[in-house]
Amino acid sequence: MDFANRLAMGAEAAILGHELGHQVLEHLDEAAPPGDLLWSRQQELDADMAGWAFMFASALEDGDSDAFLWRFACADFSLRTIKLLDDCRPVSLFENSTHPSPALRLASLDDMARSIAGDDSSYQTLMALPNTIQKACDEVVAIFGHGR
Amino acid sequence: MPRASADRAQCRRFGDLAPPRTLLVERTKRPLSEVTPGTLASMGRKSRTKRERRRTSPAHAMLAALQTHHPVRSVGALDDIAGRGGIPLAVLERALKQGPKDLGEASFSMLRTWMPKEVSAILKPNLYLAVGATGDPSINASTRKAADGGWVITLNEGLTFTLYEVARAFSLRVDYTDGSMPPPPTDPALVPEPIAEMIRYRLGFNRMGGYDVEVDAPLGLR
Repeated sequence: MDFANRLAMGAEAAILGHELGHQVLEHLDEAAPPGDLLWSRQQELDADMAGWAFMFASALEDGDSDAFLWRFACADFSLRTIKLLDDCRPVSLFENSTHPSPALRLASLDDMARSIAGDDSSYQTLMALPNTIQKACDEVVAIFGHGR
Repeated sequence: MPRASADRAQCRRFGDLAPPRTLLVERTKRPLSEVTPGTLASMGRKSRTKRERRRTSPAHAMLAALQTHHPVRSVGALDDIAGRGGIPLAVLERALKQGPKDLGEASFSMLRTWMPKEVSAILKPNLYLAVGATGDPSINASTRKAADGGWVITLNEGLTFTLYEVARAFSLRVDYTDGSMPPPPTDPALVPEPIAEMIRYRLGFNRMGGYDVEVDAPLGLR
């Protein structure tokens, strides 16, 4: 399987993990009251954390750094792609959304990355592929020229 | 592992690559575990037992907090889901692509192999779960609960296509440390414009169809 297929499938797995997180955390049984954006956004962040736990836990517990690096890159790519799409719009979809902005979700993932990495050198290694992708994203967004 | 190289991408666009384990190995330097502290650095250190790693792993702490759900029944086929879930089969059949190559199923199978044994073991015998890709062009995924408590998770085609298109274009910017990849067929400097064009198409197409790019629809049945 080529790199792009593998990365896209990993990103899909991350999104499925997020959706499964909603189920496991029983969010459908306690749906946010209409208009309570804080509640629903917190549920989304919690579902992110659950999905990442599904993806990362076995690699961390088995001490498999190769697997962890790859799965982290896939999770990051899923959010970075959504951020790219939103950044290309003149107005963000997430200002009054039930979902937190992709930037906030990426920040949450980044917090986890820093915690797991432990030092700057490991963190930079972890972020090598995401940083490459972000640089390309910035170039794409610049073409749209919304200046957001 | 892949490392950043905006100026000198040395991968090929298509074709077989080594599996992730090989792809991500940094061949020219010492393993991370030997040179860095922290959780990542402690991976594979012989002095720590698996139990010790589990006890200190942030992921393990998260999992401990997650394992409070109510398992239901085993995985069902599409007609089984429709029958037990109170969803008309014709509606499900239109929505879910059947067959072993369903993108949603394939991705979920991969996620399952990544899951800790504890979670996977809970899901396997007890969970009545359907995962599939729909033909919906909106860039979205959703989760819903069937009438009898089963779980249905769908990935829309708009999302899977977009992820692949972006991944394919961005793969030109990825360099491989083992030097085994031939030069890319396209200059990586040309990557942004095709992606921008794809996004213009996707956003314009979705706006015409009344869709939006938000991933993960509001919870519940749609």
